[in-house]
Amino acid sequence: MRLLYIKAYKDWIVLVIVLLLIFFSGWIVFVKQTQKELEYNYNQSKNEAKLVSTLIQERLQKHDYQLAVNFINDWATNSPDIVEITLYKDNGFEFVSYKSPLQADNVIVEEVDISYSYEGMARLKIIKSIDEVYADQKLTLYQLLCGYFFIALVFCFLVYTNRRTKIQKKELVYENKRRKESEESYIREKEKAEASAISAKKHAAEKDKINIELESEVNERLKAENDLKNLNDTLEEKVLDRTAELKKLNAKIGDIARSSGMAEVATGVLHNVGNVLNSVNVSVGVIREKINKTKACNLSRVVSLLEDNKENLAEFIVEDERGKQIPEFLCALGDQLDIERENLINELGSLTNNLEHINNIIHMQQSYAGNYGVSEHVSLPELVEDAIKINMDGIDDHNVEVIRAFSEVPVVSLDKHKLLQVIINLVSNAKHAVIESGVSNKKLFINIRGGDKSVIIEVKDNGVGIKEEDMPQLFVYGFKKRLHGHGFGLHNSALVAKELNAEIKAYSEGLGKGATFTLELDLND
Amino acid sequence: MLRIYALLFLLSLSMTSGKPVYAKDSLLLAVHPYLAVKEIEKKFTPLVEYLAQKTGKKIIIRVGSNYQEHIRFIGTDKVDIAYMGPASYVSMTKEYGKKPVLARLEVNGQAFFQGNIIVRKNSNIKTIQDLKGKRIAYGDPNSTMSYIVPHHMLHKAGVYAKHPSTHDFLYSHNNVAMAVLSGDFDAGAVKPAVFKKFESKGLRTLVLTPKISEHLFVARTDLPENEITVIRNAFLDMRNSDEGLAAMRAIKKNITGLVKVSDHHYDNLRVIINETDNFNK
Repeated sequence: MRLLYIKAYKDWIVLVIVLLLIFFSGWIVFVKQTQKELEYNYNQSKNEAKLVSTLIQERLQKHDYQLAVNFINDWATNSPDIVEITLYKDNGFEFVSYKSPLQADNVIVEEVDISYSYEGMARLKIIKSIDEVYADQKLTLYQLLCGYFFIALVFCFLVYTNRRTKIQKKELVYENKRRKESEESYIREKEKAEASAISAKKHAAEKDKINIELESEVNERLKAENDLKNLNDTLEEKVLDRTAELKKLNAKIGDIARSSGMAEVATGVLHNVGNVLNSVNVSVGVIREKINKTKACNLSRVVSLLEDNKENLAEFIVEDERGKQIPEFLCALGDQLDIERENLINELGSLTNNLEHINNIIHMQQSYAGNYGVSEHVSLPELVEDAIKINMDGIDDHNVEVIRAFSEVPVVSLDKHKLLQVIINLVSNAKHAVIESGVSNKKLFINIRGGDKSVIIEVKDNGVGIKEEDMPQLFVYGFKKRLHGHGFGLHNSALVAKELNAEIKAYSEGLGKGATFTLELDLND
Repeated sequence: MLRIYALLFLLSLSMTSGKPVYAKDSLLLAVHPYLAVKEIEKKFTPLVEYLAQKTGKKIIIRVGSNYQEHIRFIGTDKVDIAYMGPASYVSMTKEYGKKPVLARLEVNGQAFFQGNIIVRKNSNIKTIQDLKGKRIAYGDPNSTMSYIVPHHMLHKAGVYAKHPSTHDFLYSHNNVAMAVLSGDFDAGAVKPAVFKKFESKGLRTLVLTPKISEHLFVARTDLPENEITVIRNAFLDMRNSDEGLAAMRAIKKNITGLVKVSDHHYDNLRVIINETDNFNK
């Protein structure tokens, strides 16, 4: 930056030229002024001498020398610049010779002849100091020099300022940046300092508060210690009494706990059994309906028609119009009965499975009471299909579309009924969610995917969804969203899944946006 | 206003009767105007205080406006005491008669004085006779020392006979001395003090004038004798007291005392003046 100042050599050259011009012009004015002043003083001195000589001449013509001498003395005394004044005759006699104590370096000497008689002439010699004139000129010179230096300084300042302004414009950008940064750092430091100060204050206040609290606590403890000492004496007796009471209470609590556990177990059994019973009822209802609608009842009418015509049965079958239809009817009825029988067998198979499942549930609960479940090889797609079937009543009634996506997964070895119980519960919840949502295209997405290490069974719906705030309580016992729910299903499923070394997770984007439940089976064990 | 009328009344009485207005409890001291009025008052104030102490009366100074008036006031007894030069005294007695004389000055132990007729040191004038036809400077025409006595002396010496010399009155002893020194005049008459003052500048005395009795104090003619005695004694005692000496020296530095005086001490001057009058006729 200093180079920038130095580079302004053009400005400085112009400045030096201007200053030299000012100096020389000032010097010329000063010299002229001094000459003028000196000339003025010479003229004034000359005029003064003439005037004085005229006045003296008058006195000398009257031979009043004393008056002339007095006049000169008075005049000289009252003229501070007079160094010497002499009035003398041409014969050498001095009428008066006044010498001032004034010491002068610069003088004007003025001599005037005074003719006043026929006997020669007198001469007036005046030596006058012009030191004051020189002093004035010296002062003027000093003032001039001061003025000159002042002007020089002003010029220098102007040049400097001009140069600086130009440079400052360039500097300004950098300066602003730097200032901003420094301000920001200053603010940050200030904020830190303030924060630390506030924190210190806060700490101090808290410390004080804690101290006070501690003090009061210590006092309280001391008091309590005293109380304890007092109580200690009677405590042993009370402990014995209380111990006896506690033993009784423990016995009661054990009973209550047992009852509670049994209740919980009973609730779980009832719930699971209830789920299966629904399917059982459905199966029974289907069987009843099928039996009610069976074409087999028409067989009795055929039988009574045959008994009525048993005497001429052949004739009746060959000739009678109704008899002619019987073989055809019997063939059709046989086909129908085959179909019905097959359906009933299937339905009875399902019913058997359900009953077996109920049996296993009960059996499983019995295992809680001391018996263990049996692990067996389970095909997960089959098991999922069973669970769907068990929930099929609601699914068909409400036109819920079940979309399956089963990947090829390994056969797993675990307690089949426990797993089924969990899957039934998940499918049941999903079914109810889509039914309650009232959406037109009710859909269930059931996926099975995974590998050797784990398998995931995913049950997804486009039903009512789950509120965000409800998510944490989803697996808590007693939490229910449905009007007819028990608040037990997910809770029990989670517990069962844990037993199966599995984990249930729930996802939902909120109300009306459906929900997804995954059951991840760990196959490592 | 009444006071003014009373004063005017008393003044008119005194003018008509010729008596001083301060007759009872004050004395009027008249001095000839040989200096400025204020300077004279300054010089005579110690004497006024001295006399007031001695006489028990108030002393008032009166300076005459000129020598003639001064002489007239003394001659007509309009003042109680007067200080006079010798020529004025002779003129006064000639016109108005004798007055009671009180005392005369003693300067440097002498009760008389002599004037100097001066020339330049390098002057060719060696004797009084050489002044014939020369220019001679005098002081005041009424001055004893710078005109009356030297003029009479030169006249008697025949300087003005056949080759009349020219002279001029320069009205000051200093002017006379400077006139001679500057060469404007060939000779002049001055008192000894002025001669001494300018001697070193190139003056020399050609001749001394005759001795003339010193200045004197006179009294009003009808001043009571006892008062005259008191005043005279006071003058004569001045040399014996500090106050008196101080009062004397205030008038003139080299006064050594006031001594007895008699009218006949001025007889030689009286002759000179009479002869001078005859020369001028």
